[in-house]
Amino acid sequence: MLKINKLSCGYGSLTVVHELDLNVSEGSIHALVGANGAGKSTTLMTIAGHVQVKSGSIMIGSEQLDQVPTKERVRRGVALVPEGRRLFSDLTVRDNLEVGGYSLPKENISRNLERVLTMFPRLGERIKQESGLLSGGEQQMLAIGRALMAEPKLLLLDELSLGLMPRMVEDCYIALQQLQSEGMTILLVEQNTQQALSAADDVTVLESGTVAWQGTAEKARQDSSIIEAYIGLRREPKTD
Amino acid sequence: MLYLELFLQGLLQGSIYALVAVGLTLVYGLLRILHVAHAGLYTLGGYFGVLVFNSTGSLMLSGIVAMFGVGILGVIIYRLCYEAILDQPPYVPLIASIGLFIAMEELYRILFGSYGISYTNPPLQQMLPLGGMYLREGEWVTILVSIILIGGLAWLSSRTRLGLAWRATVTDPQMAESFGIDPIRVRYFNFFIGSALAGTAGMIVGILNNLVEPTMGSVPSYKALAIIVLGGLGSVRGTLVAALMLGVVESFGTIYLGNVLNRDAIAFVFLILVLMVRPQGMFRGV
Repeated sequence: MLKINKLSCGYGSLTVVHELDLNVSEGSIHALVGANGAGKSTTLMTIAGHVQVKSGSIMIGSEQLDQVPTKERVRRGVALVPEGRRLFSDLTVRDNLEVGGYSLPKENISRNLERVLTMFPRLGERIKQESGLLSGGEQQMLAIGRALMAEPKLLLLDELSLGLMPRMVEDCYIALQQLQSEGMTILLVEQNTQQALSAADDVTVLESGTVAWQGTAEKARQDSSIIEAYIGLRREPKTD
Repeated sequence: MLYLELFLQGLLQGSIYALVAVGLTLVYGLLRILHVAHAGLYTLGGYFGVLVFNSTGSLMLSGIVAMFGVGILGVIIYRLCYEAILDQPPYVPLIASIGLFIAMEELYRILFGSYGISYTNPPLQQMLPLGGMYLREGEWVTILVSIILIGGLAWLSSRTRLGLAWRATVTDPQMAESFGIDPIRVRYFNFFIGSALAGTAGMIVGILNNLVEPTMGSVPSYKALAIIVLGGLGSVRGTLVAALMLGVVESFGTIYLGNVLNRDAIAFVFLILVLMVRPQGMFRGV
């Protein structure tokens, strides 16, 4: 589904990610984890078209995505839920969702709106409210809903759990699993490694812009030394 | 009745300020550029109006040319002057804009002369009583045109797909682009609408004063800058309220303070007083 080959990217003269290879198979959740500054968000923003590709390629299906202008990538099936949500804060919930579906015909927008509001009924209750006035959890739901309005094949999620109450994080991850069961491919960037590992099928650990480890989430869950070695994560001792 | 007439005169003046200042705030809201050359487009609207009317006699045609001609020129100015320097610090486009405004004034002086042009057969000058109040036809038309244009802008912004794209781009251009909105198209639209409003205002003022001169944009330019600060930079709603308030204050002020201060001085005393209380302006946001 998503195939990244020897991707180097960054800002101006600064290269943040070096020769990254990444394969995300269709219908899977792939977690990109790593310490602060490892290049996780930069990778996501590069796929979305907001960060300059210096070398390498990004393929989605059989199409080379890195040659496609940013505004066209959503039409190729890529939608981004950015870090910090970045909602259109002066716009209402409905307007935000309609912007999400901007690239689609009108009839698809109505259908997708209904689907998103079924998935997140709280958004329906606040449909006329300015998005800047929503709670953090509701804003995250709206950010996901806005991306879903675009009917993405590949959903890019950056720091889903950041700043959310545990209950809200749980709700968002339940929504992700529902999306995966519908066949959507998800590339997830998370600081909360435990949470990411529990939801993901595959994991890539980034360290200073390069791949430090890649494998299945199952293996990373079983062998705690993998994650500890690269991120310094300490797990709670097991109790019987 | 005197108060009502003064109030109406104030709204009339305020609606002209609003047409100029809304265009300026649209540009600032989207690009964070203080587009000083906007006043040059206002003057051009006046010239288009008088030149087309004097040669064809058609007020409708001169209105269309003033509105669309200036709108298109606004897009060309954006394309040639600002687009290449958008990623520069804000003072770079500001200096470019001031330079452009000075160049436009000088160009008008060279092309049309220093002393201004009048309508050979001034239109809309008859007094027209309405609801017991006497205003010139041109003044009633000014109020009507302002309501139609500002109302149309509100409708366009809140009820259309283009308006949605515009509002999203003002808030976060990068995210708007992520969802398929073309930021370049939105910027062209923004400059077209803002400039068309300024062109219309210039033509209206040319008719009301029966004079179009190269420097007619100077006073509106700094008043419009003050209005958009007063309204809250980037806020269309705030700009509208500030423009109308300023018009009304000027109208009453010229009667009650006219022997101490002139019209422009009254306006700026008012602006300074309001900004001392609310330096952030009355509103903020879109």
